[in-house]
Amino acid sequence: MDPIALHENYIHRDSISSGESGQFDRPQVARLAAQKSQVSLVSNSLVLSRPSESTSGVTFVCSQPDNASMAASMEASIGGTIFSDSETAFHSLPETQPTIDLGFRPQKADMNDSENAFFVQNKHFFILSVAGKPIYSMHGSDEILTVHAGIIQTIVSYFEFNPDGETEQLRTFTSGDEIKTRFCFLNKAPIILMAISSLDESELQLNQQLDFLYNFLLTILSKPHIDKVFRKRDNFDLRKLLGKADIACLDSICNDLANFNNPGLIIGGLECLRMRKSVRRRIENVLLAEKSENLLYALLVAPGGRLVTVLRPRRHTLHTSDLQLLFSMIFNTNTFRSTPEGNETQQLASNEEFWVPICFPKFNPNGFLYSFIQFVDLKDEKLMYLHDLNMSALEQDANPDSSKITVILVSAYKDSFFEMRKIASSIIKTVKLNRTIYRDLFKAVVGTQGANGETGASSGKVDPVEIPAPLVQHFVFKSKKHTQFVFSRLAHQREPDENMRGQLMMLYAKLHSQFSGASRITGSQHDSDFLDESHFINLVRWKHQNDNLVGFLITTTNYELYLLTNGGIMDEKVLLRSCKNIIKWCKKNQDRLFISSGAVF
Amino acid sequence: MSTRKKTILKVIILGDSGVGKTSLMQQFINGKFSQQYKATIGADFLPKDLVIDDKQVTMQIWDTAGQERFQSLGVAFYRGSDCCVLVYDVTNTKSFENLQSWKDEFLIQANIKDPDNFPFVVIGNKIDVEENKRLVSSKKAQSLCASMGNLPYFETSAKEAVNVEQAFDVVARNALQQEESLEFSDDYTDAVNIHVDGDSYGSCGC
Repeated sequence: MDPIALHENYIHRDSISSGESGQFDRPQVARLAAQKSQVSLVSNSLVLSRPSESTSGVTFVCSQPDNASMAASMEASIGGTIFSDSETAFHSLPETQPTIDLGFRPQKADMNDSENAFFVQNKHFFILSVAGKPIYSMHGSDEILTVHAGIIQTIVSYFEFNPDGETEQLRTFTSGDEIKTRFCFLNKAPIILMAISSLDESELQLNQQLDFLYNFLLTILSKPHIDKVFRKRDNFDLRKLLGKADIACLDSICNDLANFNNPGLIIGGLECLRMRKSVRRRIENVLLAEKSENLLYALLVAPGGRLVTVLRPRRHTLHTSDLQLLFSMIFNTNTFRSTPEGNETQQLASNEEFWVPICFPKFNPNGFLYSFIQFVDLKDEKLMYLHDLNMSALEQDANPDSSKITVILVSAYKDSFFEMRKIASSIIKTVKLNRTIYRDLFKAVVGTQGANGETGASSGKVDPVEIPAPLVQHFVFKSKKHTQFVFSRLAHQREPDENMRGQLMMLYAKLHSQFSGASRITGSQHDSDFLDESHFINLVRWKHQNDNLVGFLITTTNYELYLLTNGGIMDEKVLLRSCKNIIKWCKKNQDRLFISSGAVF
Repeated sequence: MSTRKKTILKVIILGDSGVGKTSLMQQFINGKFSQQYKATIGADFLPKDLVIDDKQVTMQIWDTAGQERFQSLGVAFYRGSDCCVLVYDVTNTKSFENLQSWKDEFLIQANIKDPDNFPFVVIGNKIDVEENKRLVSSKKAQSLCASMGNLPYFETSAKEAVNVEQAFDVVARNALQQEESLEFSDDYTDAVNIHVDGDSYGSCGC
């Protein structure tokens, strides 16, 4: 490999803005005040196009107001079909997903030693020590990382150790005109992290992502451990402390971040399993009956990291980001998976028990908690028979993990494994044998069963059609009080697949970043179901073949509502009514959608 | 990213401007020599994979700029090094006399905890020149290295590829030894009592 020299202009102080974020031409967003029931939706429009000569990324081209014809004439080279808006009954729709193709291409961590393959990636993550020794990179071989770790360290140090004696922290800079590439740094000495994105992400977004990666290092090593090894010696190679599973988990977190695959990380919150309040209460009582001095937290988690409920001591809350880290660790890696006999794919090992030391950085970065983890498959022939559920109607090729709930017991004592195991087995026994609990969990996780025994979609996720919310294709409703959100199905569909989920979240991430960059909303402290002039609507339109997709973010002090509509056939009054319906529905059902305090002891 | 890691050795090359630091590194890594002089700006980074006694290592070589104006980067470059190579030009007395100050500067800036045992290797470069142009004798150089703490000393020609391999072999071995010293063996015993200082209320209301 040729040496990569640091040329003067590469680190020239003038070309990089430090301390504050660099110049970044944010596509203008039409922020409209929704006045009573009147919404005017047409202002600036954003046209999404993929320049044919570019190999990576998407560009947002902002057209001028009152220039709709120009916007319309900008033919976007985007393939795919538009949503169908037919009111056809749910079950009669084809299983195939409608596609929105906005240039989103899922990417995967690699260790490719080709520099060309390395440089065309539109998202990078690097982790290195302050000495410039490599720790991790999402893409590229060790050799590529070794060189770049040195360069990144130098760039960071160039600002940290100023010739004039001042110290600064380099936070971000951008490069490129057509496609802006943003570089973002997080100096957590003795660890340095850097992200590169050509996906039009803001400094704030990338910073949160780097923070999440850093916190993951803390969950597996804890802060004092990292500090200690580097205090003893600056030249420490942290990779010595990272196992295969840890690297796999870093890869998986980076993939999730690059592919917008984890809504909770983007909008900040957790998702809960939608279920009846009385049944959730019943499960909480089961957990409360098992409380013990050595048990700190107990969690029941549905597939996809959706919380069923938690048991916690009065003096301790659970932090959203700690749980996001825990769930990333459990659900995104093969650490907890095995390959059952006669099967080809790995799945969550429901016949094993796990005991894992985990540091929860927000709870306490200085020490470890110990987690007992066990998976319970609700698709169990004997149990289904016992509770009068029809086994034969089940989908045979369903993902085996989509019917498994996870029991997590967290203790501060590392020798309490046997006690935790006993508690878990008692909880699992009750969940399995209590008819109401089992049937409700089954309905929410595996699927509803009709009178004729046929299995329908699980009730754990709402379809916009159910509300009803005409014209709304998809929505995410976040309750700020709960730091929890509802992630809907696509209208008339079951679940968005990974690719579609990525597209949706890419759009919502865009809205989210535009909102967080906008000035704070003033006033509006009162709780209102109704939109008024103090609630801003962030609107982004994406030109999509002959039609428009319109993304909204409505935000108040109490909630955020992200939604996507098919803009081409938009009736503004209908749409506004739909928004209100969703907000009303979420409020009305909040005891089913969110966990307010869990089981507290 | 790889899971079976090679040991990373951070090696830093110091010395006055123009003594041939970049040429030595180019010769060692690419087996090439260029007549043309091009000043290094800041630093160059080159990786070199080696096998030392069946052990796979990657040398991350930091070829620094000798020019004064880049010295503010010193702290950043020096910390966490596993070996420091001090280079002088046998035709340049000043560059020889500056070796001691390069060493001192490194020890201070890199915050080396055990300076007496930190591995340095001294290289006298450009021995391909005619005898009458040589201004620093082998004897003089050896005696300085001895006085600086018995530092290994090599005379090389980056131009004619004389002794370069041998010098860097010693650099790599000494760096590896340094990297492996104080091998970390503590286990995860520092779990703290969570109930004392874990009490914090944050964003999650659940």
